[in-house]
Amino acid sequence: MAKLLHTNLLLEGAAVQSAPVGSAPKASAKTKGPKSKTLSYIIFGAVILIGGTIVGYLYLAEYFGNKMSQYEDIVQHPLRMPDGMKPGGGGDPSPMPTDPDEQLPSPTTKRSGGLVQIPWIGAYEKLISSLAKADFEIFSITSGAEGRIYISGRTSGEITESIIPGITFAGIDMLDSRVSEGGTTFLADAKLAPIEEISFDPAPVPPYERGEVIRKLDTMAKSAGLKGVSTQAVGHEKIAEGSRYSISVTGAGTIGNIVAFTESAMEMKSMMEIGKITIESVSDKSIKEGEVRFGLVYRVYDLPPIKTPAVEQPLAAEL
Amino acid sequence: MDEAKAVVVETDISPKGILIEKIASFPITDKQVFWGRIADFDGLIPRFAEIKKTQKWKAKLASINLPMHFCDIKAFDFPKAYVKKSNIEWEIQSNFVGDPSLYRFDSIEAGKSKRGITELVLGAIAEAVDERATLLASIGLNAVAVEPDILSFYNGLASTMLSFPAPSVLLIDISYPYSSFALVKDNVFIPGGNVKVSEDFLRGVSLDAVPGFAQDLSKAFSRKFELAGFDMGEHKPQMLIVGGLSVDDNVADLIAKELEIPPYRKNPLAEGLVKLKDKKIVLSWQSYIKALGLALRN
Repeated sequence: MAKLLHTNLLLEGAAVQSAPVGSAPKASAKTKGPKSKTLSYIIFGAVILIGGTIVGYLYLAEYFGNKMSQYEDIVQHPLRMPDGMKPGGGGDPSPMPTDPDEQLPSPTTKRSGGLVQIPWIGAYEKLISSLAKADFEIFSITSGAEGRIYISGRTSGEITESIIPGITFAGIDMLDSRVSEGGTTFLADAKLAPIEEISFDPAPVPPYERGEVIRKLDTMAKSAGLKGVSTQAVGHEKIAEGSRYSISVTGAGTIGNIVAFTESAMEMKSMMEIGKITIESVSDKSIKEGEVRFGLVYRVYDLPPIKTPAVEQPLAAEL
Repeated sequence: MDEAKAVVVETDISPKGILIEKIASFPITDKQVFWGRIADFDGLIPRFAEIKKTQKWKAKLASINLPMHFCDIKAFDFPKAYVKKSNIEWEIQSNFVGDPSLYRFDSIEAGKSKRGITELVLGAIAEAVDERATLLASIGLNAVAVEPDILSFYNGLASTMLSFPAPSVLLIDISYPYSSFALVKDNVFIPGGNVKVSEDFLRGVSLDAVPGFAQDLSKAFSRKFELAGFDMGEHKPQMLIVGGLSVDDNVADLIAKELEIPPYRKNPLAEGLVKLKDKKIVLSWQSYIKALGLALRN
């Protein structure tokens, strides 16, 4: 038997009470009696409501517009040119060059279970900790499609797959380069390889533990010396065998602060990875030397673990 | 009420049963209701007041629909013990984007599930809810509920047929600018999503928009329900029920043909649970079933 689904969206204890209207507003307006007064108040109220709605809409549009622009500003700029650079040829940036032979690194790893779906766990952390070892100036790094990183920098040497010590990119394409004072300023599209193995068995994060993860990440970011930290849930989705939640962490500090934060987050040994990343210098200096602002989007997973089948059923999951 | 038409149903609920006393409909212009928002209270109130006067309504209470693009319904599979106010509030904070103070939320148990119960959590833009409640108050009625379109449709069907005619039934409510869909699986409502529709389709000007609508709906349905084991390929729902203020058997059949899902061909009022006082009513049951679902709220 189907159940009736009666919901209540009206304000609790403030159900909208009727105002008696004897007839159409035009007729009652002529009488100038209490009914017409009530009607006038209602119509006045409706006008105020519509006015308020318009003002509210405009305010909200601006508010959310600002929020979105802030968010976009700090979290994702897949093809944005770094400050001070203009697209070559005087035209708009051309679309990503597509090479038929070009292949993204295979996400297949030695893992099993639900973890095969998260091949980038630890990969961005390793990249971030290696940035400080690079012997060229990096002005910004931004993630693009899965496993791709856009690096803008300046170097006097050659740009190769091993330009960042400790990281071997699966390929690097130069999107833009020009000779300038102090070396060649470039924007490169680098393909990051997934981590082959991780040294721990990450624990799935059921939905009811998401709040704890958000609080922990927030605390860790602040403890690492980062400033203006904002940590919040920014989305969720169902994936095969489970679900995935996105948590953004934004703020400012030094690259050392960010490395300290991401390493401490790894120590949680939770089933989560950095899915999106933006680190950019807020000055003329490279990100190794000056202050940076950053945005990270952690993907937190509720997937079957590799080894331990005896895991409590998650308390909640969206259908 | 949608962008093109308002349908008003008055019911008498007594120990003898449910009787539909009166059904009326009148056209609405896009100057009066625009994208679901009431743009012209002054123009709309006299239309309702006139119907109320000429039809001699006795009703003191009323409910009204809320277009689906003002709300979001999510279904959760919860163990029964998890359903507490604090946990629901946590799920709302985690799963609804936006400033909670601008929204109204409610939750309701929809039925049994694998882990325990299927809990529906819905959020709606407070301004849109209050606006519609104010409209009812303006015509001398006490607002009991402002109910999302697809739930009104579901409630109208559930109250007339008690059990749905197949284990899996796709519900489509045709409204403008968005139509909505949901799945009823083993009599448990599972919310779907919204699909943009052409204005011509809504106003009955042209049915040429049906194939495009069906294509969009197929994609949206598969995306939403693929993990629940349904798609528009080999795992279709077993039956389709289409409703909406401008829908009749012809429109419903056309959509069913495009989706290749058998349509529900009976009149749910023929089940006898809800009786119609005026047997000569010319409106299609699809056009007032939603209003009936709302009328039974009272």
